[in-house]
Amino acid sequence: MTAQATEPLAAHADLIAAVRRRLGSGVDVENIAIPTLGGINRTILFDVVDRGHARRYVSRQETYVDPDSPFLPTGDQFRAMRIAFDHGLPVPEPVFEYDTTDGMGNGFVTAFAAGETMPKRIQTGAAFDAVRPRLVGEAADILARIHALPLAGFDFLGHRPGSVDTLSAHRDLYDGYRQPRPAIEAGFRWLERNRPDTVDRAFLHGDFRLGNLMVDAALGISGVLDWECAHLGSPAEDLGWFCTRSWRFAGPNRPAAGLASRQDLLDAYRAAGGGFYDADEIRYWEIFGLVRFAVLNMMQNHGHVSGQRRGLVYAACGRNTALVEYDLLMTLAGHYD
Amino acid sequence: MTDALRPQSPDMGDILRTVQAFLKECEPQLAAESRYKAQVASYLLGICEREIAHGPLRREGADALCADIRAGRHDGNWEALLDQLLDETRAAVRVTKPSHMGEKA
Repeated sequence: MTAQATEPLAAHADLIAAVRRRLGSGVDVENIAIPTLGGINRTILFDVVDRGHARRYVSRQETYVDPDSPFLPTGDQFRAMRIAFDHGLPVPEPVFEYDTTDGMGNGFVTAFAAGETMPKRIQTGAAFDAVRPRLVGEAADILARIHALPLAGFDFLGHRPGSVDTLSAHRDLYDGYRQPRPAIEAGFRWLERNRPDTVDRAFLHGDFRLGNLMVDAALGISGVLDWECAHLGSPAEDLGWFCTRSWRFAGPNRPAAGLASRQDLLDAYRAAGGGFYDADEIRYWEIFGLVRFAVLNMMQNHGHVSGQRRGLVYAACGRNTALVEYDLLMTLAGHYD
Repeated sequence: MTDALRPQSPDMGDILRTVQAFLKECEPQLAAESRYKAQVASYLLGICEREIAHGPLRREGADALCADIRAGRHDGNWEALLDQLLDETRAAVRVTKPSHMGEKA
């Protein structure tokens, strides 16, 4: 996220009031900024200054409330982050949720995690040369710890469509957009015919990829962001999403986030206490990942053309569906690995 | 009054390139959020320019093909299906972003 110029305080009286209700009427809010690439939610960065001591926070508000939205309600995101944080995972500390008194809609405030999220800078920037060789190992360790979180705490996710059957959930989304796309249909058909025999069940982050990891040039992975796709399922789904071609950027021939091989990731995951998965099972979930990303691009297109949420970036996502279909077909045909 | 429209100059492709060049000129003066959007706007205009040169993208019978794939009626000629879909998708990528296949825009 790249912050733009500081926002006028007067435009954020509601945010300031919400913060003072929780953190004390004597605190000041300063340096309010709205970052680029905030994604699905409206994101605001700000400092809270308490008796001369400043700490940076992030506010996230839901903007897209399509009843068919595949994203977790913000209250559930907050709960999932809370559990992960309490188990010592590198999650920005969840601070408070907005309520009706705040007039901020649905959303929450967390501590700000400093670092870089732009994949290409992490993959190729000289500043990250020292930390880069450690990143896949750290990611594998974090994934193993996420997947080891006690399932009993996540009953509230059990009825999410993605928790019941993630493949059907995405096909239902696709069907809802009423735009027949034979390449995506072929992807679904292949996934249906090649379903893994047994599926383990764990809590999944659901969107664990390089762009959602905050990386500090000295310390490594300092935060795991964007928990809005959390659900229950096979850990192999998270591992496969991490390797999905769309997230390799500068390193298309190194499946694990464009940084290492699948086997490097799987070995590190096992060494960190994670389960055993073979590379072919990860490949299955990478095909799923490409289908899923194509459907997410269709979702952005749908929001745009239906008028619910118009915008340049969403229009571009609609057209980019074809690029993901190309990667999917090249992979299905065996031209890409 | 006539429905016929005499070819005018500059043509649409030229107009799109001209607006794109203007957006590029503006980029350095814009704050991060707007600069990113200006880049996306240029990208969208590039798609329009290539689509005008290509002609409309249209596939008749996508509904029927999708239904056949879902019902398994292409399971027996899967490789041929993938080849056909790849041909069509290459055409779409050539309009959207040729560099995605390593081709020049």
